[in-house]
Formats: sequence, structure tokens, C-alpha cells
Amino acid sequence: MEHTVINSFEQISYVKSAKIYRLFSQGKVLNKQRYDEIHGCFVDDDLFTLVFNKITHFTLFFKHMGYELKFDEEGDFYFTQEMRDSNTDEADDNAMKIQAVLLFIGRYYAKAGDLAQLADPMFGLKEHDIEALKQDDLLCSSLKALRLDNWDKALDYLSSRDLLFKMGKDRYVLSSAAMAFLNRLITAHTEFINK
Amino acid sequence: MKQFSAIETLKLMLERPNIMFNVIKQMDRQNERFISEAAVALTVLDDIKNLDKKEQQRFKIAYATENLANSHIVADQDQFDNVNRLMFQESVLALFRLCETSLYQELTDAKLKSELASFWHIQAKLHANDCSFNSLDPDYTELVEELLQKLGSLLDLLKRNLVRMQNINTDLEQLSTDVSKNGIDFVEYRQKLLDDVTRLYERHILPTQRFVNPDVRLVDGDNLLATINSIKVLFDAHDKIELSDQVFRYSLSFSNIINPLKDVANQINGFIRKTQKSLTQFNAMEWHFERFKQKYEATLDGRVNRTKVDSSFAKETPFMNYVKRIPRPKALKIENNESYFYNIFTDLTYLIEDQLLVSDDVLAAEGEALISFTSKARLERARQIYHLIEKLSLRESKDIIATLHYRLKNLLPQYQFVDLINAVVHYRKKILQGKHLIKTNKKSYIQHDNEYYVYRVVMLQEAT
Repeated sequence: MEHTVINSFEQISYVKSAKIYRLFSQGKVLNKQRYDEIHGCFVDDDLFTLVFNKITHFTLFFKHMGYELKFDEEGDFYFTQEMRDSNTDEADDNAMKIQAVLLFIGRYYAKAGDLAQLADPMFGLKEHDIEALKQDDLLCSSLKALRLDNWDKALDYLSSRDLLFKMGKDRYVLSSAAMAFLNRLITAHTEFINK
Repeated sequence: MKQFSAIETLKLMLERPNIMFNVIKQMDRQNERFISEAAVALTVLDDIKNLDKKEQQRFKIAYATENLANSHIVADQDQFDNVNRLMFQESVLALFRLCETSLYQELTDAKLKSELASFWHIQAKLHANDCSFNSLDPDYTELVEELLQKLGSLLDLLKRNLVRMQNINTDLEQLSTDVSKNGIDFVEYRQKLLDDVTRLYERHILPTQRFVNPDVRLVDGDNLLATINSIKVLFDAHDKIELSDQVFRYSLSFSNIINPLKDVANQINGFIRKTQKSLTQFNAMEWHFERFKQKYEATLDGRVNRTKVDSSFAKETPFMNYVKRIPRPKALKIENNESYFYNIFTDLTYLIEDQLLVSDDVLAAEGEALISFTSKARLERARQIYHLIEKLSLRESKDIIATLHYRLKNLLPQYQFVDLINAVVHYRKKILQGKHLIKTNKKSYIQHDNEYYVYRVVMLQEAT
């Protein structure tokens, strides 16, 4: 019987598969769309398409590695979680850093503009926005209390996880995963008010 | 009855600041400087109800009217409608207001005008023909003292007011929470909101902004900066350079306040033009930020080593929880250099020495000693381990405990973890052979017989 089982590994390019593994091993999320620097717009990420099409394979693959591959429907992105619930301190710290920095950005942006623009390459986070964030002492000391030294480090931290894409020097655009978080904050607030 | 000194009473009051915050809020709400004894007592009892009896007693003593009066924290008492009322010292109230931004009193137009009037008064006196500008004349020195004191307290007042205004976003969020409610008529709601915001702006921000604006013209005299400047010019004319400098520095500080004030005004401007959608976003962000701020402020408490924000904030919203890097397999480190080989060869030599020790039957007592567990047998085994460890050669190591663990494991029949403890303690006390141990703050663990033992890493170094 064994030889009749179709080996899904043979159907998938190992180059792409290795890329996908590396991406999750760095703690990144896999967004449906990534920012294309050459065209200056969002394009479909072929790695995402691959995972989407071969979801049974990749789910099983990561399960064997001890990780759970999950899909976030609101934000159209994949992420991995460790299955054994051992030392989660590091993971908690990561989530805290990510959520707090995104909240700071969202709060700043909501003062003047529409949050949706954060995910629009025409707008995004610009140099003067980052300058204004750096001027806010409360935010700077909050970053230190999150163990992120400064805004440059904080933005690097988010972009190293593909929650932000760098468009140029001091210009960033939020990925759909990051936007899903901001939208979740708004929903949580609306639910709180109408409770 | 037991009483506390002023310091002790203040300490207690600051220990549970919410009591005074609430007392101040009650007074501010009624716009009075007195508060009834009963209201204070109720606030105290409400705040301390969850403490144990002894703790409660301390606060009851501290807030007893007699104690407050004797320690001069209460400045005055009076009877009104058969109710005993207390008036707290203004400085005590100021102290608590300083600790809680929302308690800062807003500067009203009237208050600012009266401040300005007192500067006009000083200006007029300095301009008068009989002003001597002689530092031996007590009339003149008193006037200068009054001027500097007024400048200092006004700057302090404006600065505190500025801090209050910079938190305007919280106010705006509170004004407009209803926008997220289902089925709201936004057009009608917006009109009401506009009215509220305009009132906030006109009553609280505009007066201060006008007050420090150098271009404002007033009917009955110069504006603040012009008044201060004319006083500076007067001092200059009488060769009072130091005084003129001081006054000038104050005027710089006053004119610096106008920029952050403009930012506040711009924020309000942006807020007024918001659509329903962006207003919802704004409120949500401010609300969550307030949540975060509470976690952040918890790091500002008295504990020196608490500087990191508690990550429980992130648990409340499901996003990126339990995501972390996947550790990659580590490569075995084999190098091709002298010190690497030196270490390999010393390790081999030691291993051979260890084996020779065992074959010499150094350790006569076998594992039974441990199994029987009588104290005599335990002592005997410990003594033999001491013997053994005195003969072991150890090289420099980054983790001496782990090294000893693996060496002893091979050497001792029925090796137990207590043997390692015995060995480490003895080694540390007796035989360092010119080397020294460095304790680190790193923790590591050893697995033995399916148990994990956590220990502090200790390094062994050659003394230099």
C-alpha cells in the first residue's frame, strides 16, 4: 500500500518550501499580499498562494515540526504557533511589543487621518509622521518599558515580522495583518460601548 | 489617642492617594474649599475597607480630625449647619494635584486677569518717581522679591495647566464615546459634540493662549509679555543686569508655552472636522491607549527593578499571541586552533586521571550508603566525595557545575544529585588552587534521572 500514497513533498518546490519555513522560523507572518518595491504597489505573494493551495501539506508539515499553522481570516495571513505550551514568556513579550507599537501608530494616525490610509502605499507612514512619533516623550519611554530602545528599532521590529513594509527611507506601509489588528481594536471598543 | 507627626501623616496619606484624590474631586465639584468631616471619613472608610484591621487602624488615626489639625494638614475648621467642616492646607492639596493630572485646576479667564493685574501693579510701582532702585531700600527689595515670586508661581501654574491641556485627547474621547453606539443620528450628534468641544476650547484653552500671546492688545494695560519686557527694560536702565537677565529668562519661558498650546488648538481643529468613521477610529485608539497607559504607569511604582510593561495587555486582544521564532538546530563547534586543541587534550588527560582514581578504589563505599540513608552513612559518603574532589583536576570553565556533574556522574557508583551539591560546596570552600569562582546571574538546568535541577551558573577562572 505504501507506494500508492502520493508524496505531497514531491509536488512542491523545495526552494519555495524552504523559503516558507525560513519565513515562519523568523517569527514572520505570511500576508496574502506583499509590497512590491519596483512597482510601488501591493502584489499577491506567491508563497501565500502556495500555502493556500497546499494547505493540508503545510499544516501537516508544521505539525511534524511541533508548530501549528494558522490562518487569520480577517487579515488574510498565515502565522505559526508552538504546539507545546512550555515557556511562553518570549512569545508573550513579542505579542506585547507588536500590539503596543501598532497601537501607538494607529493612535497617532487616527488623530488626523483615516486608518485605512496606513495600508495604502499612496499614503502610509511618512517621514514627518515618524518624526512626530519620535517627539512624543510618553511614547518613547513606553517603548523603553517594552524593551524596544527607540522608534527606529520598533519599526524594524515590525518590519522584520512583515507587519510593516518599508517603502523607502522613513516610509512604511502596514500589511493586511497589521490592519487586522487595528480593526480588531475598533471592534473591541465598539463592543465595549454597546455592552 | 495615638497621633502621628506631620511627616508620618503625609506618608500615610500618600500611601493611599486615592483618598485625597476623591476628597479633592468632591471639593472641586462643589467649588468649595471646605469639606465636611463626615465626607472625609466616608471616603477613608470606603478606600480602606479591604485592608486588614491593623492597617485600617493606621489610616483611621491618620485621618482623625484631631490628628489632621495637630499636624497642620488641616488649616482651619468651622461649623456650618451643625456640620464640622475641614479646610486642608493649600500646599497639601497642591501636592496631591501634582500627582494626578486630572486634578489640575483649570486656569479661568478671571484668574489669569488677576495675575496680570498684580504685574501691572508692580510695573506701576517701579515706574513711579519715588522708586529708588537701591538694594539697601527695603521697599525696593520687597518689590523685587514679590516680582520674582509672582513670576515663579505664574510659570508653575501655566506649566501645570499645559500638561492638563496636552491630555486633551482623553477629554475629546470622553466627549464623543457615544459615536460608537449603534443607531446614532450622527448629524444631530455632531451638532451637540461641536457645542461641547467649542465650550471646552473657549473656556479652557483660549484664555491661556491669549494670555501668553505677545500680539494681543488689552483695553486696560499691556499684555503679559509686554509688561514683563517693560520691567526688564527698567532694570536695564538702572544697571540691574542680573535682575534683568532673570526677568528675561522668565519671559522666554512664557513665550515658549505658546507653541505646545498651538498644537493643542490644532488637535481640536482636526477633531472638529472628523467624520463618523474617523471619530470611531479615534475613540477606539484613545480608549485602548488609555488601557496601555495603565499598564505602563504600573512600571512607575516604587519597585526599582520593575521597568518592563506587563504583557497581559496583549492577551485581551487575540493577535500574534504565542508567536515566536522557531529555534534552528545549532551547529557543533569544532575549531582548528591551539586553544581548542589544548582544551580537548586537558579534558582527555583529566578523563584518564578520573578513570585511574576509580580503579584505585578510592571510593570504597558504594551506592548503598545513599539507599540506607542513615546520617552516618551519608557523612561517610560525603567524606569520600571530598576526598575524591580534592584529587580531581579542573580547568577553566564557563560552567563549573555542569562540568563537575558530568565528571562525577562517570566516577561515582549510583551518583545522586546531592553528591554534586556536596562536591561543589567542598570545592568552593577548600580547594581553589589559585583559581577563583565567579557567580553569574544566568540560570541553567541539569537533567538527571528524569528530574530537572535549576542552578545559577558559576564560572571557574584562573586568577590573573
